[in-house]
Amino acid sequence: MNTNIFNKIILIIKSNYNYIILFLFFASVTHLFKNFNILLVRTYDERLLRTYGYCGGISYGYIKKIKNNYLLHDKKVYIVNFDTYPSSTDLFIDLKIDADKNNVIFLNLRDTNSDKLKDINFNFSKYVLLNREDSCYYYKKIK
Amino acid sequence: MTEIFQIFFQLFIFFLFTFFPINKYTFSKFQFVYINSNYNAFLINIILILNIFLLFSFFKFDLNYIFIGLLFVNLSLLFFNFINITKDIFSKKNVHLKFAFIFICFCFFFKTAANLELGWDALSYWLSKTNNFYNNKSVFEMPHLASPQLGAYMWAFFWKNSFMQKEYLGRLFLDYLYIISIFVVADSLKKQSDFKKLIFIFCLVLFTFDYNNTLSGYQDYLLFILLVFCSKSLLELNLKSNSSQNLIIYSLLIMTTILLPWVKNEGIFYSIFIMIVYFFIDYQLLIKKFLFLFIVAANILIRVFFVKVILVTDNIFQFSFTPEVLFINIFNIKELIFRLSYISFYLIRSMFQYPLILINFISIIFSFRYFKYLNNNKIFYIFFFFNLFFIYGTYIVHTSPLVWQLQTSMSRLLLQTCGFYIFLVVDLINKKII
Repeated sequence: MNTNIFNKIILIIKSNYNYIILFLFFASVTHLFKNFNILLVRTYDERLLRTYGYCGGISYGYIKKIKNNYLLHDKKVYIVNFDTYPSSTDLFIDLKIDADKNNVIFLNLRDTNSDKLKDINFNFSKYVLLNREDSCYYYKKIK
Repeated sequence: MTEIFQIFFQLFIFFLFTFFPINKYTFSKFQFVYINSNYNAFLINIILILNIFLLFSFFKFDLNYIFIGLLFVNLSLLFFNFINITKDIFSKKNVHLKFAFIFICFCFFFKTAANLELGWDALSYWLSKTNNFYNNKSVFEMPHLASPQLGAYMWAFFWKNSFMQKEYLGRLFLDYLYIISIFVVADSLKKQSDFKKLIFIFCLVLFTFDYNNTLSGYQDYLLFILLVFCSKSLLELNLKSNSSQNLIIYSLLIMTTILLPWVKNEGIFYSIFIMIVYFFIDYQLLIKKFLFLFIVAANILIRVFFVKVILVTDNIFQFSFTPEVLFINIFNIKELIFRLSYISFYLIRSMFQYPLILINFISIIFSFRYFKYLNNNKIFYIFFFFNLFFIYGTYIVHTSPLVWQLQTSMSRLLLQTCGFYIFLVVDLINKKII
């Protein structure tokens, strides 16, 4: 029985070897096996973290940490990235922009005399620093 | 592993939404469209579903309810034709092509799922628009009002209606449409074995492959896909004189052209080019030509009215130009030569980013030699002329830094339209010229 199935498989491979080579070539060009393996071993969150970084660039990891630890009820935050990157807020479907600037996250802030900081008119004395990692800061307005 | 199952399921959902309601089992009247394979049926249903998406995007309907409604219709049709469809799917006819279709789908789906990086514009514009629809907000509440909503709505629709509700699951539909468009092109190859068709498909995919992460949330591939469909319909109309068949393809062309301005602003110009091309097609009644002109003009006016009056934005495009800037750019010879030379340089450079653009360009030049054998040529020449005029015109009047603009957008702009000319290559192969 097993030999029969084996022979059938061999026959299919023999009669379709040109197609198989073509498919294998295409699979290698599109990195099919590598991508399949990534999906098996890395979770969605890990893949996002590897793509957008923890603290640096879009800083997905840092924002997620702040969201999970500090923004449990009020999912509003004002994010300022001091490097040139697109908005990070849209990566989180439940996050909204905090127009009142009660919760503020600074990403890639290396110079406290930055022009961008002056542009947004941020007064440090009105805020308390709740979390800091490397160049990422989370401030909350004092009520 | 759950994600892999979800991807498999997503392919089934895409199949269900694009194989129904119109196919050879449900509408035998359209039999002439399905000769050889079912890819043309997919084409009809895709245009139909995209028009449904466009219509619903103006109203505040829950995406889940729309999904359930469409799913109910499609599942019912599947149920009533289940035996015939399963027989067809598991028949030995075109077995290699069927397998290749599923295989290429998974190659692209896994690529999108494994590499979650979105392009710059996708993160800056399209994702926020998609989030808006995902949260069941209306088109009037969406950010970046100047750019149209169809792609974002489609993305949100399949994102929200997936079990795991991951953002990339919505984008898989764009991959799927892209693969369908490639198969529609390959379907036009005559008297070729499955193996040769497969080589053609693989070449086409590799020549237009997502080397610059363009499938990552950008809308350029959607324009590429729609222009493939437009080109296919125009060619069919140019060949067919049968009135009933003609009318169906004519309606399809109109429905596809309507979609163009709602994908990206460039689509406004492409829809005008398609309309002009249609005027040069044989066997078409004058009244049909004027009706087409009227529909395209009305569609563009609705789009302009919608953006300027209802959404109240300053510019319909993301840039503006003053008469002074226009005067400086056009009548200052030094500036004009500078701009023309840079545009030409980046035009050539982009050809090597997506080799299909280069192949199209060579085919157009090559086809001049065989002009009398290729009766479809004028369609491509007219579109090519206007397209070239549009590319040069846009960058000449653009006010933002030219080199930066060229570096970031030229290759994508060329990619959008290269789908239109593929059929010229197909025609050259069919006539055994290459």
